[in-house]
Amino acid sequence: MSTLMNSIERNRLLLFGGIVLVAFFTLGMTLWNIQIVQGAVWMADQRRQSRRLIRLPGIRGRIEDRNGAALAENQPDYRLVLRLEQYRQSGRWSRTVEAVARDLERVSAIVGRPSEEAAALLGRVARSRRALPVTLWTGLTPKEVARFLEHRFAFRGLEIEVVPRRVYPQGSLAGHVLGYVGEREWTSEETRAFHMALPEPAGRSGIERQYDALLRGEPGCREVRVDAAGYPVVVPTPATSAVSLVVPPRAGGDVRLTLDVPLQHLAEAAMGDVRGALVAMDPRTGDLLALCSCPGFDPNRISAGISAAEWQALQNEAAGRPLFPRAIAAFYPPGSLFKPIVAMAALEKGGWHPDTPVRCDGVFVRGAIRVRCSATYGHGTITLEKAIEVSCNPYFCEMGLAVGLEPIRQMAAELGLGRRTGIELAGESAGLLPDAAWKRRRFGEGWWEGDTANLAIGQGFLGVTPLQMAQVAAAFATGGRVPRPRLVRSIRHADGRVEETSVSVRDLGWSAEHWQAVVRGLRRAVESPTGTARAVRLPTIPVAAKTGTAEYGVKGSGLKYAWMMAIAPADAPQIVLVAVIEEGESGGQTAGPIIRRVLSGLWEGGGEG
Amino acid sequence: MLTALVFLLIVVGIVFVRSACASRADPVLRLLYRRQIVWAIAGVGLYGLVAAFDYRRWLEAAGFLYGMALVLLGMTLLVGRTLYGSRRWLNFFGFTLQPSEPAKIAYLLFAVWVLTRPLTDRTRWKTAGLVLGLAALPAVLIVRQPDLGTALAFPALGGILLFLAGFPWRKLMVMGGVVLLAVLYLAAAVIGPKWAGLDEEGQQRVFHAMTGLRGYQWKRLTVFLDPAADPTGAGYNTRQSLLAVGSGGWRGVGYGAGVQSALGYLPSTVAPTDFIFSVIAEETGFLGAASLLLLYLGVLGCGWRIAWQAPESSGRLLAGGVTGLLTLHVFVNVGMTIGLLPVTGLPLPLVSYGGTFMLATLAAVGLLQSVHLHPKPAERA
Repeated sequence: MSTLMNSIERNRLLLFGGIVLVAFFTLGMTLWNIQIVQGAVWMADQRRQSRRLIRLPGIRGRIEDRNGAALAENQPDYRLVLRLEQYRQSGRWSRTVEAVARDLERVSAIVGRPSEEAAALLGRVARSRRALPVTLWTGLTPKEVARFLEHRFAFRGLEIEVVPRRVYPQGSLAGHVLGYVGEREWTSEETRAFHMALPEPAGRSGIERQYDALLRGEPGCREVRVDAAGYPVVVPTPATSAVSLVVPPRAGGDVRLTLDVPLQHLAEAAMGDVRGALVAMDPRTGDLLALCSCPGFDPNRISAGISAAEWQALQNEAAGRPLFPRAIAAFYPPGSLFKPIVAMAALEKGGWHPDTPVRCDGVFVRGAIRVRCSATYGHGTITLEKAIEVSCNPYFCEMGLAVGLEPIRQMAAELGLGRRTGIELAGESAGLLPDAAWKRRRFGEGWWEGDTANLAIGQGFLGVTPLQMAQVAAAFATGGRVPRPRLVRSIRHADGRVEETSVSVRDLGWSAEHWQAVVRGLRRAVESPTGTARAVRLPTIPVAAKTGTAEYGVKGSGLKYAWMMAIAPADAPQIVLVAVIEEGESGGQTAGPIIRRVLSGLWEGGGEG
Repeated sequence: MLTALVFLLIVVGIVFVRSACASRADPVLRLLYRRQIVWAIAGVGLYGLVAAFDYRRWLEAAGFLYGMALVLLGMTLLVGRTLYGSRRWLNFFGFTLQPSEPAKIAYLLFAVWVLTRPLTDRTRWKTAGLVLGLAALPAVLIVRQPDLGTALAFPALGGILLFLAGFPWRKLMVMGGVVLLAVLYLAAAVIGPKWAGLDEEGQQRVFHAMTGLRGYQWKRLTVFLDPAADPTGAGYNTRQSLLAVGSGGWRGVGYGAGVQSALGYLPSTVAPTDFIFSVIAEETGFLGAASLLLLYLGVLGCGWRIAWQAPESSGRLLAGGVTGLLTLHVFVNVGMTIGLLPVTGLPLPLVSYGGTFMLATLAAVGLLQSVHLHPKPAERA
């Protein structure tokens, strides 16, 4: 019995031994598979697990005026940051908080700024962002920095970090043109390439936005090794001491605008408190020397981080909508400013002669049309030049009806009305150049002569932007050569290469005789004692100008847009100015003095800009 | 030979427990390996003591030891210390002991005693019932701790003993079939509700209704079947373990340079205990890990030889049972760290940090040595 038992047991033992060998063999094979065959994959996986990629922003490019003066640039912002991994204590979280609180108290006393509560500060740190240091204070003055640096070895994990901050050295000058920056938001594709990103400015409006792709440069990348809790590795082991891979961020390109800072200052000062816009252009090239929309805003205030209440205040009507770029986006009826266009249309396309007489006796009547003249008893019988000089409504109504809607429309369209100019800013309005089809769509009615009469004096459905009128003014300055308005003079790419933007001019082929006739009228408006634009007369140079006063709002409310366009010097034009003011008295009374201030600043106050 | 190999394993254990604890913030916990040394010394003493006595004496005391074990297990459930959600430890005059570990040895002894009684017929179902029934008692007490992995070790050990004792083939296959059915049932309880499209809560409820097991056990099983399912939750330890093992490559990253434990990806609570093999695999690579396995194979080989050479059934069964117990632990623990098996609570003998288990293992190895040293019964005067 026992021998049988022995042999049974022995057999079982043999089998058992075999099973154990097989089991161990399996273990060994699996080990082989994981460590040798798949080893590289696991190693890469593991490295990836402890790696955090931090995106570093590119170095944002500058925006300059035509002479290189800085309009938007970066300045260093000194920040005090805390490295949480240096304060970690084992055990309860409150021990870490205490360690942090002690240093916070001391540094607050040394630097002289109040500090946040340690618990609140640490509560802000999201688990996913522990690889980054925590910002305590921004905008440290050099004195505060110096005070900290004197004592910096007394602190475990505090250091100074320098971060570029976007500043606009000229304050609120040309705010609408420059725009402002906000926090960049990432596309889902971009977020896949990194774990965290340091804050990066992104253009939200103006040139900052239009040229954001050029300005922002190339981002860089920094690698940080973290442990299982997400904190950067404090004491590197041989395996984790590998140097962080760093791709340095690259600089963006710079943008040089056509603006002239001294002239822009002059223009904004001349505008003062009113609501409206002023455009100054070089008629030969289309360069915009000044572009003002008033009231304006200071991009520094917005880019630094603005509260919701402040932002609301900037948007509302009562404040005058300072964010609204009136110069390019607002359209108004041009009033009498449209008359030179009507005149040119009649001369060039309508067969009208400058000497054709028309009688004005204070009111134009034809059928149901009734248009009053500014002169109560009329101007008597006058020709074109005089009509422009005194801005006589009946003359232009007569001329407009004789010529008809079509030539006027054509001339206006050739001069760029009803179309965007294509300036390098977003949000430009095309204005409105009405025609019969439009009126039928909009009002369900047909076009009748009364509409043409209204159009001839620049009222009715017509809508133009100040920029468009500047373009028109340039045409009258150059005798029919319409330049494309340009805001950007050149861009400097990151590699140093400078690219100039092109000047483009359209020649409308005006007859010199006709053009001169109109210009004579414009000069008489300034030089004659009865001219509507005599407010801008200068002792030093000849000026040509036209006023415009357009009614708007409820009939009889007395609300008017006050316009003026000026060409100086009239004999060899270097600059055209167009100003429009909301709630004005009249072109001559309201816009005139403003334009005069600019002109005398240029020609009396020490030379031209 | 056996002693030498055991010594070597103990040293390996101490060395790598030290590395696994190196990253702990609390300086006291960094020195756990010193406690391991103390337990090892006490264990070696116990080893000598057990080996010195004739194993037959130990067998005679088996019933008493088994009873004591049950009492201790009962006490643990009532007044034991709770740690990480389970009650496994008893406080004994300042020492913390885990009664489930010596219970394994006590059961082994008692089961061998039962099997080697002259009246026991090893071919009958009754015997199997008795052996497994004796396993069930401590198992049930341990399951309530809860510690399912350790509890399952008892019937597994019982099965091994029945096999070694010559329990008839056909009946063994029936048992095996039952186990297989149980495993399939378990699998069905996990996979079924998932395929039926139930949400997570629904799956857990059905699982619990079918098996009476809890949420975290369900999680362990789902994660085992699909490791990618929950890498930050229940599957975390397994994934981190695989990352550690895999990054070891041929030669490992070097002693003390293990990233997984240093940076805390392999939690410092499990790195020196259940996942010590991961630390070793990462730091010494395939060469080191395979060598360790060979070391264990050596110990098991010695145990096997002692069983083979034992002249009596009791000696064979005891030695075979000890070898089987050790094999079970090594296979399950290493298998878990390399993703072959779901996560359990079986530590690596002599290497994992753990005082009670060190003592229990050395006592078991002492039994082996005792069988070797006392082939013939002592002459009683």
